Amino acid sequence: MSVHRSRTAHAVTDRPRGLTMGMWGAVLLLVVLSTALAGLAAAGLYLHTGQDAWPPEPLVRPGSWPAVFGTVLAAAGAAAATVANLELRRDRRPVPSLLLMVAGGLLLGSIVVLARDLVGTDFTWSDHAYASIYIVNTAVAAFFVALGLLMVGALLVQRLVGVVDAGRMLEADITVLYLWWTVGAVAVCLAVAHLLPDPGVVA
Amino acid sequence: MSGPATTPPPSDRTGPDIELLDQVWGAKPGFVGWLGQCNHKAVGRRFIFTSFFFLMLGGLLAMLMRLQLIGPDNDIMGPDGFNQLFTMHGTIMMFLFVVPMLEGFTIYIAPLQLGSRDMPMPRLNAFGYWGFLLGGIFLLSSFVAGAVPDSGWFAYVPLTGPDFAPGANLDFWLLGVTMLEISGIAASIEVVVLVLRFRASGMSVGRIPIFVWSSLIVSVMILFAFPPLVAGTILLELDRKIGTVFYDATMGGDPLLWQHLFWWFGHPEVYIQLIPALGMAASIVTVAARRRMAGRTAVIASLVAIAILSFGLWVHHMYATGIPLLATSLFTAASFMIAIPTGVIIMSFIGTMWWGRIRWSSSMLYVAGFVFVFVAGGITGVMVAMVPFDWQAHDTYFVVAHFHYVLVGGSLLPILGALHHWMPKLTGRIMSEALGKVAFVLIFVGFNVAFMPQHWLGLFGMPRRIWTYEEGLGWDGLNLVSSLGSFVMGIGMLLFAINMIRANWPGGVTAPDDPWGGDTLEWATSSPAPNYNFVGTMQVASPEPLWDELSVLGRDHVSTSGRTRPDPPHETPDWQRRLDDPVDRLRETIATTGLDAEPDHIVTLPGHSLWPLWTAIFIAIGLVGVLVNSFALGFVGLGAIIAASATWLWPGVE
Repeated sequence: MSVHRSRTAHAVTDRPRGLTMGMWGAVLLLVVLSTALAGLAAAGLYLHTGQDAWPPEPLVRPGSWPAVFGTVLAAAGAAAATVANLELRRDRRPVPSLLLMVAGGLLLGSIVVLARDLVGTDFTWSDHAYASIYIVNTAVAAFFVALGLLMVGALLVQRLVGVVDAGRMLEADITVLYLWWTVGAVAVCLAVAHLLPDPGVVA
Repeated sequence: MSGPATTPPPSDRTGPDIELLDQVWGAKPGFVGWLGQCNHKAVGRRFIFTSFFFLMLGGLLAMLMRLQLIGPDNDIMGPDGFNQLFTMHGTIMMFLFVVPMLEGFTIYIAPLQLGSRDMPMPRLNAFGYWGFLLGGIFLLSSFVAGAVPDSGWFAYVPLTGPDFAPGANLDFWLLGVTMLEISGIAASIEVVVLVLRFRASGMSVGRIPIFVWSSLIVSVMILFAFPPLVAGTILLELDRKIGTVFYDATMGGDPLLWQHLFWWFGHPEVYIQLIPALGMAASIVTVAARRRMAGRTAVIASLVAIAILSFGLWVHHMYATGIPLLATSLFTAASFMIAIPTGVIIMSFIGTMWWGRIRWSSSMLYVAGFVFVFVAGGITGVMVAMVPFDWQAHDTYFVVAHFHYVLVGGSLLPILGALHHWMPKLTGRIMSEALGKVAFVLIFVGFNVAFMPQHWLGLFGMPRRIWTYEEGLGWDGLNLVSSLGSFVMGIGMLLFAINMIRANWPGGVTAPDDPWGGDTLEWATSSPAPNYNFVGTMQVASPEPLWDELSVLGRDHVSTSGRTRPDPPHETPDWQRRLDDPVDRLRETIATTGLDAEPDHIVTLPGHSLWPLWTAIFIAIGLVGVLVNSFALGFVGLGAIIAASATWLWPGVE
């Protein structure tokens, strides 16, 4: 977020440059989360390496449609929040609030789909490393979306009580940034859970 | 750079309201005000003195180990107790002493060297400290609970898995370390922003002090090194608590996964502990030798090179695990390469000393000791980087000697020197030079007597981590010498602590503002630095602003004892009046552009807040819930964390 839309930043030049402190913090936090996510993804890839079968019998690979649907819903939620952000910049009422509600609903839908996928698997996390990866990665994806849902909820409340508006966009900008990051994170988590090929099939 | 000021700096301002500034940037009164302090100096001091306590504690554990090993067949303690001691010694030194101490110095000194009034995220700053303190208390409470971690500071699987470590010992370690890592990450985020945006006007990238450069580099490293360990510890805790099988080889998992994740963090960690210490040593040697750093640009470039290379070395801790030969060859080459930038830095230090006029203060003695000890550790590092040698020396006392030479030389000695050097800024007191030199001699001699023989012990086949040994193996005499050396070093550390306490005791010697003739901005303000750090216009014209005649230091508030020269003629920008006369009682400071440090906008910073403390407490509650298998308590902690974070981040600081 530029310093133009912050009440805690007062430009001393005609053309202030760069991000506010809050946005800097958010960006660096996402760098940290991305590194942790890289560690988790690397763990999945590492364990997959050298396995004869992925998953090994008698485990059966669950279908990937819930994962795809969950990711699409998360992306739709991020898109709705982005439009809400743009409307908020124009200080329109009540469109931003309504769009935030839509975003919240889509994110909630994503969580429900991912949770149903977890409940519906035929294996438990202790059956094999494949199962551990599948369940933990799907749960982590749902966790990231749930954090996004909380942020959208907080933003909605802040908008309704009037502390966020066109002159104070930090929370709205961070929420949108986080939601789009979440879409990528969910895609990575679920890709590691679903897309690693069975070495036997590849051979 | 010499000669007292005779005239105040020319300025067209009517004068800042120092009393109001002090109130605005000061703490609220009372105990609650003390708890809620977010100012970088309060937080930095807390980090430094808390981690010094942990240093003494870790040293005490080390001496207990050496007491056990002083002779063959000793039975002062059993193998379990010994396992606990070396685990907690390593954990305390790595996680509770070196990194927090370096963070503390960065938090206290870096804003002063940059000419800033505070860190950009003061509440995150306070959270970092509370997370560190509670993480440390959490780890040490394992002594009270009778479940002290006992699997080494690297917690190798499968020894730490649910089958071989069924008690709560490792849970204390995993959860405590996770909290400490989060604290370190929090501190790093704000250091990056601080260096990028909170510099004095004119302090372009090329003029940033070397210590601040080192802090920036390490903070970026932490952002990429610590999170994978957090991920790894969470996976291990899941294995232990709910039965996932990430590290279980019989179920498709792999114990080596832990080593990869751990050393992804663990090897950069060595350099995370080294690089700021190099920055400290550079600051000290420049001032003590009374000349600019030789090869300053090469030193900074070398620090960056070390940081990048450090992420490509982790497998050299795993040569004995069956890694393919081609991979080990690549990591050997990478390990050799890091000797090049390190050598550049050491040569620059030696050059600075060679061409300077050295004042052999206590802090300078520690830097000289650092050069000797660290070079010795670096040479043995090149030796163990070679696969054939490493296979012979692996898990022997040779490795123990090597990494103590690296870490004591590369971290502890510069830190002790830095405490001498910056104590005037930290507390306004000055440590005794005579006592400091005696302590240095005891520490330096004691250390070398303790650890030099361990090289031979390793070559004679003594494995590390053994709790006792039989008579007649040829290890008795060397172990006796090593233990006696450690006690001498312990006495030296005790003298150092006494010196520090004595200096800060009521009636201790008051420090002048610039006792050493420093070159960087922290010496342009009072000792200790006032709540608001600086008043007036700051314009930096060189990397050593106190040694040039062009920089404007804005020293309206500094007593005459601290002045070495008046400011050159300058104009006061309009926004400076707003910062120096905070009639709205807001904590405001100037943010500058990233490369050229041109004034960009005024930032309003938050002040007193208890939410960082509450958030850290709720995290600790959640961790206790996981520790005692009470998921209800864990979820209570999680809910409280969310509520506290929401309150903390609620808009309205303005």
